[in-house]
Amino acid sequence: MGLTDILLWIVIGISIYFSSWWLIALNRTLKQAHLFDAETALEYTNQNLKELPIVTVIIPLWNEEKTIQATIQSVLNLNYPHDKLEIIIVNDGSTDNSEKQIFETFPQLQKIRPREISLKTIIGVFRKIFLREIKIRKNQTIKYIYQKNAGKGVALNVGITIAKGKYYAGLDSDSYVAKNTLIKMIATLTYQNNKLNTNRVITITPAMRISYPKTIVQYLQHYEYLMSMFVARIMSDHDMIYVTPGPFSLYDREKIIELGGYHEDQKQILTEDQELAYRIQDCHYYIKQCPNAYVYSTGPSTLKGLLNQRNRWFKGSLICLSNYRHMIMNREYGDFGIQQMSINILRVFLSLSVLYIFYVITIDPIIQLIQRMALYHFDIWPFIRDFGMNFNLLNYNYPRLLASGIILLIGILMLLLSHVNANIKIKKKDFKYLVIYFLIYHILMAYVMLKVIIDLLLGRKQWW
Amino acid sequence: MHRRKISYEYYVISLNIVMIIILLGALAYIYVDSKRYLSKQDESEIQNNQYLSLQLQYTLLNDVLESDSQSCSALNTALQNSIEDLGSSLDKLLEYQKDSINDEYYENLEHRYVLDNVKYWMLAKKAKELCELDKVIILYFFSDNCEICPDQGVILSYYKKTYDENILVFPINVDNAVYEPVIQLIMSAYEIDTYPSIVVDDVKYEGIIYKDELGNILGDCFARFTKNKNVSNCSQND
Repeated sequence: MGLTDILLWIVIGISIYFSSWWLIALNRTLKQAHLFDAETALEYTNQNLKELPIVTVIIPLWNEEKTIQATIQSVLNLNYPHDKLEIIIVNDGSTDNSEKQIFETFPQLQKIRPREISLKTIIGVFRKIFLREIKIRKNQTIKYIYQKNAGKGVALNVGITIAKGKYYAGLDSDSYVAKNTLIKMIATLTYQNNKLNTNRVITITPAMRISYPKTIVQYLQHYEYLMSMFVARIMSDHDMIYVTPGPFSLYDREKIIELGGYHEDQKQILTEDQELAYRIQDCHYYIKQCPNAYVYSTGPSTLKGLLNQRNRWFKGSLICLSNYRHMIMNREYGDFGIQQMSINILRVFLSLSVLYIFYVITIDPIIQLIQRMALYHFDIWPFIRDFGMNFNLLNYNYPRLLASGIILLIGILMLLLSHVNANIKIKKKDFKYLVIYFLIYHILMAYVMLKVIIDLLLGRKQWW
Repeated sequence: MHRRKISYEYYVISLNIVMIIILLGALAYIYVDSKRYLSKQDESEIQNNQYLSLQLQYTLLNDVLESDSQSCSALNTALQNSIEDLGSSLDKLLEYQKDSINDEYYENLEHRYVLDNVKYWMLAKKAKELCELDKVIILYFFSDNCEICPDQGVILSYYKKTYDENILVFPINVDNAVYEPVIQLIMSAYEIDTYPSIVVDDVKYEGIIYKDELGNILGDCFARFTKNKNVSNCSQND
């Protein structure tokens, strides 16, 4: 047994361990399943709240001229009382036609002069902003803020400072929120707080999906999102969520201010949403998922875009993990510390191992074959002529086959369950993408992980 | 202070599942390993019988009966097949041995193959004289510690595939000389001290012989067969 097989079995062991943990945990999720639809959500909130709370939707905007109009439209279409829904757009110094797109949507905005304000934000820093405010419907106003480019964290903090809502939801300007998402989330938030008899549930995450996948790259993300939303649902019931997605996670505004808002140094914290989630966990607040609150994100359409995005995400994850390493295997943090933080750390090991195993069992043999063929000047005809099927059951590497079989089975099981969870049927056209998903996608992600680790090691002083 | 839940039972159950699956994997592995060993043992017995039969047939032809071309060619085909079986069988054995946790398990079998290989080589040499075969017999000396040796192996198997039954290759791993004096005897007979070395019909070539050069050597041999039907040895010097 070589190193490859031993490594393969370690990977198998860890994967089986985590997936059986999730599957056992699924039991609790199924028992507790409590989903609101639009009507029951309204009913529940009517019974349990005096009135619906004011919610502010903050749209940080940076160079998203293609999608911003649709993003705003999705917010305007939200099934929520207009007088309870505040909209703030924070243009973080876009250099493309984003502003023009906004003026096209709300022509009155262009007509009024912006007010220049020196705003003391929630973290106590003064920011110069240009504010315009117009009435768009009877009881609804929209605020449009322009600031010099300072990063998404700053844009969100400015938004929170201006916001009047008890709750706020950030919405990335390449994402669209479904009509009933907000009311479902408010109901879920109320329900979870009532159930736990606390007010410590301060964040509700939505179920993110890829909006109308077109390219292969988007389809791959589509399956990945379905899976991670399924896992997040289980994690939610065990208070293990470690990332609150940028698009439309709902937060208790006061509590986030208390926690210090978003991290503003984008160069140091690449994933401000994940950093906030870790901080929420660190302070023992609850993050819960609302499994049927759908938010649609565009997702990079090209491979290069995807690799860049993942590079940033993985780097951000590792930085967060390093900053919050005191939670790893810490019993004080319950299942989050023991299970989730271990997964987050082991994921790095798994990625690198998978990459190594992939190299040894596919790339290396191919290189060797080519080298051998070069020795006889690529005259492969004698070998083809003499190609006989030498079939012997004993010749196969059974431990390796068994290992790959188990991994594949786990993968298929998770895929099926995640489709059931998302209420989506697997169609015929899915199969070709799924083959690519199972064969290549994780190798690709492992490759990104390797690159990220090399980057971080080389730029050590800068990051750690 | 806020207390957070640890679902201990989940960890215990998951760990048990992992243990069970790893155990199943290990059992399957041990089962396949022993099956492989038994199958190799059977194969070895069959090959041994084949060898005895072939040897007897040649002795019969040589000492008791008149050798004629018809019985000769039938025998040669049988010999050819046996040698090829032996070759691939040995390759598999080495592969299984590499996979096995207990490679000592296979050591006796490997020893047997080493001897069989030499036996067949001798038989082939004898058969060549007796039946005037148009075959080139190649001894290929290599060592596990020599990095370039596999290249020579690749080139030899290329020509083996190209000329098919006209070439008989006998690979000899010199590392086995440690425990097998027969290998030492052959090595000293051909004065082998560098690896890889090949002996093509009793002419020794040291160092790796690449495709074109080996092609020329083999071409010369075959040319000589057609020129002089009675001389079935090719040599560099004449």
